[in-house]
Amino acid sequence: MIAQPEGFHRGALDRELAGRLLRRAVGSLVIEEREALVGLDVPQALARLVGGMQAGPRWQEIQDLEGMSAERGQLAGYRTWQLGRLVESPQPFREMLTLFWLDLFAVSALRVEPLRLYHDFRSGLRERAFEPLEKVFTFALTHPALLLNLRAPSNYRSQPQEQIGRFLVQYVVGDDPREKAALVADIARAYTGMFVSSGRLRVLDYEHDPRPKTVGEQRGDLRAEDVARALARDRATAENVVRRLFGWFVTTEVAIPQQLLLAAEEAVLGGRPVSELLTLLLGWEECLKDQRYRRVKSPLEVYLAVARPFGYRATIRAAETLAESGWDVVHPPTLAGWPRGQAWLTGSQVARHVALVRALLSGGENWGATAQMSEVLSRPDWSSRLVQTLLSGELPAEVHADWQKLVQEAHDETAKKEALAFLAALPEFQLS
Amino acid sequence: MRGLKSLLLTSVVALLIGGRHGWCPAGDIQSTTAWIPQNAVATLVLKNPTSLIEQWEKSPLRQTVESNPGFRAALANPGLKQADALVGLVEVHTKKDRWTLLKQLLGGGLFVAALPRGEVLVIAEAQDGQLLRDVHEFLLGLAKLDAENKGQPDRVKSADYRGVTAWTFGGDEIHAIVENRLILTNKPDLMKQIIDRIQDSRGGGLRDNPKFAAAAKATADHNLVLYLDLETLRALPNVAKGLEQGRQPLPILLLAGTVTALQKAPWLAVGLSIDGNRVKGTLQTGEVAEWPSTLSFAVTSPEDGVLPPIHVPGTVLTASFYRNLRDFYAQKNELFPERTSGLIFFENMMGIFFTGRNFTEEVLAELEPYVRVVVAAQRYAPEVGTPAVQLPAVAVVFRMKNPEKFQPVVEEGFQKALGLINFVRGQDAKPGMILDRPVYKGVKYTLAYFNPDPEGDKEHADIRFNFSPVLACRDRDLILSTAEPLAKDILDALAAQEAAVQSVQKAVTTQLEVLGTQIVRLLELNKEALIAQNMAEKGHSREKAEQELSQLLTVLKLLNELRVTESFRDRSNRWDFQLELTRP
Repeated sequence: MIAQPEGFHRGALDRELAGRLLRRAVGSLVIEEREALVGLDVPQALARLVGGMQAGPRWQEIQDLEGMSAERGQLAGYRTWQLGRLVESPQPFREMLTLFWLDLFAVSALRVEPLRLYHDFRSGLRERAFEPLEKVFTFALTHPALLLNLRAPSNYRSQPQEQIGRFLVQYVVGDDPREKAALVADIARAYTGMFVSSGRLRVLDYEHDPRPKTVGEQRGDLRAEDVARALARDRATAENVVRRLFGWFVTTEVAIPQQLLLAAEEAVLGGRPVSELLTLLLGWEECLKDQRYRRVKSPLEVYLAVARPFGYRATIRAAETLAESGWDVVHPPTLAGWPRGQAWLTGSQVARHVALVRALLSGGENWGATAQMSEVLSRPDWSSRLVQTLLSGELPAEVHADWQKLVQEAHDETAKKEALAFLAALPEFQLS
Repeated sequence: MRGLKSLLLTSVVALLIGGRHGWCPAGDIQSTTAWIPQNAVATLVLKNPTSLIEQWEKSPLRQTVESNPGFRAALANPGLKQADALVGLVEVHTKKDRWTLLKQLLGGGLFVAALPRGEVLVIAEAQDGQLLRDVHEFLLGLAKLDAENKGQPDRVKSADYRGVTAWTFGGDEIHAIVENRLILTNKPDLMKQIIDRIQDSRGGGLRDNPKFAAAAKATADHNLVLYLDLETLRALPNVAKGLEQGRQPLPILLLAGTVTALQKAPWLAVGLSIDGNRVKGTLQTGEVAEWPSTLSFAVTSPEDGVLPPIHVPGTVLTASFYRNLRDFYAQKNELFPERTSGLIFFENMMGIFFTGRNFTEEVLAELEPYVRVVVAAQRYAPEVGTPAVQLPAVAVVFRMKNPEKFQPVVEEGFQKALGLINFVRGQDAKPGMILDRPVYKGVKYTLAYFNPDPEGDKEHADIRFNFSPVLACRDRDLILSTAEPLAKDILDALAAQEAAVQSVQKAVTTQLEVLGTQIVRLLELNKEALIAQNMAEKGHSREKAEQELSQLLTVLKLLNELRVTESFRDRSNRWDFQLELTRP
């Protein structure tokens, strides 16, 4: 385990910090999951989240259906089962991290044919999600799905595909490709000889450019896997990955503390597993305790915040509505990944979020409602459970009276759902 | 809500279902329709309820419905349980079982009419007027007793009007018994109007409405008749808006005649009758003074009509249409004026496939107005394997005017289309199709097929193996099929038809046959995919999804065969259908 530098939260997590940690890691809060973290220290809590919990009865079925839809090229079904993973996986932290890697490499099911190739890429990332950066990069940067995603299925020696270099420099290294023309060209040449046909990668040695290339500290006749290893050991890349991870799991609205950045970079360059890197990022005391470190919920997080605690099941309708809202779980819309942060705080987006919650509450079986919502709302402590589940902290003082009135007048399930919708419309729900 | 309960109480006997005894003749339909105001917008007439009850009892559908868990759950509803208890009391009081009661109370006919301004009228004609009065007295007594027990004021009120007593159980409901008929309305003024009509023995009722008379004549063979006054209905904004919608080419091509009839005809009648395992129905509109010229593509001359439908092994659906495609497309600006992206794409593609020929005058004008469509279950060659998702094959059979001239044109277009598909698939690194020109029973045809995947799973092959497109020309018939086996079957069927006498069915513009057994077979073959679809759409567990699919299959298994025909005779549009049910 990595040494805990100064600034790292030591000691046991109380209910509030455990809740915050859980929300950041999996995008939602289930009270029972939070209670399991209370009293643990951060590394213990993270280890528990990485390990996951016991799989539910539908889990194997979801995996089978996901594989079947990928094999048959059924995108709508595949999208639904990917959302199903996020809702019902026994390892929701791993699922969120897999989404992060897909965001970083910006690989979309809509840009990769056949679907089973995309599925292979996604599954591979999931399997390696918590491993050291080098393993993740070696897998992702040599996968045919990445080449198809960049419209580079054929890499002739005479015609290196510079878009590969530009993409890696801009989005993985985090540099301006116009200022790194040599690096862009060298990366493109390293990929020569790689061809994707009928969903399979073929390497033709006679089409590979053997002339020397330089990527990071590495120089020589580099190939794609050498590029992956070189970038995984590159400081600029490490910094970019740390910043992106911080934005993904903590916030994009406040800069990462310098001390944390340095510690995290060292962890990456030291070849530590990403799980340890995440322990640092999520357990940094300042970020854990300071309320400024809040991130704007994406449509996916709005959905998960309701769907997971209240036992919803993913449906085609839910997955497609999220896609229409700009958060297609199989399609980062641009090479920069999914929109993040303030992009979700426009008036129309907030209105969409509120409409999404209302649709979930009233939409019936096409939205995957189960009896669990009724069970929660029939409990004597239903109102406090709603507040704990949906809001990061206490209810804001200015809406306290309105909330009390809603609770007192809520004699049936419809009225209680109205109370839930009230909470979901608060700015405190949109920021978590 | 209180009004609704009162209405339920009064008409509870009419809600009973079932019956086990002998046939009872219908009452005097004519005299009862004379009581209904002439301006009725919608009128439902059940001429012989006894017959319907007995047919329903024998119907295989009834057993399926009654064994359906959803139906059973609905019966457990407290309101229905209360109604059932009430019926039990009436049974004890009259010493008759509910089915005998039902037949004797409704046996003369049941009439339900909706009038303008939200007025509703129900007339139930009993075979035994004394029994009707007796049951009514008993229910009045129960209602009074119920009010007393609850310490409430008596809800039952009555008033006399021209010697007829009308009662109400409260709310909007008002009813009276005249002769052997129970009259039930929701407006006192309507009740007075009915009583006036009866007492004055004056005409002017629905019976004397020429539109209703024509509708009744058109559906004379049926037991259940629905009459709609389209002229009044069309004045309703929502109805007018609904008829204006649907400017899409395919619905217009298939249903333009009916939609136009609904827009222009004075009335619409729907008739339904059950005969053993057979349900027969008719939908007919009144005469349209003048059909619009844009409809010329779908209306036949009295001597013309559809060719016989084509039957092949595994037929799911076979249809034959009389549609003049040249006239249809020539009037596209009037029929579907919106220039959608789909239409523009279609025109561009046709321009490419037919080398710039005028699609209306040089392509569609080469086709006779006889179009036949066949949908059939597929057969797969062992070397190809069976696709994981099995789609039915679809074929369209056109008749050419000048085969020698047109066949090369369409052949060129077909090969270009296949080339384009292969090109696009190649761009996506997908396997392309191989073009061939085999011969089957003397007919040389163009075939495109996917090479079998030697490493692929033969039991769960890719969905592409559902497709092996064919273009075949046999004499004047032009066959476009999504799969080779179906094209061959059609060639055989056409040869057989040729041997038999082949003539058009006069005045018929659409003929459709659907075979339920094949639909069930296809659904069963794709059961896994359908279960997955259900789980994804509704978030169901596998068990629940299987249960839903099983219910659907149970219902579909009852549908043996559906035959539908559309015809234009005497300036009116008529649909006849016949549904054959199978016994479970």
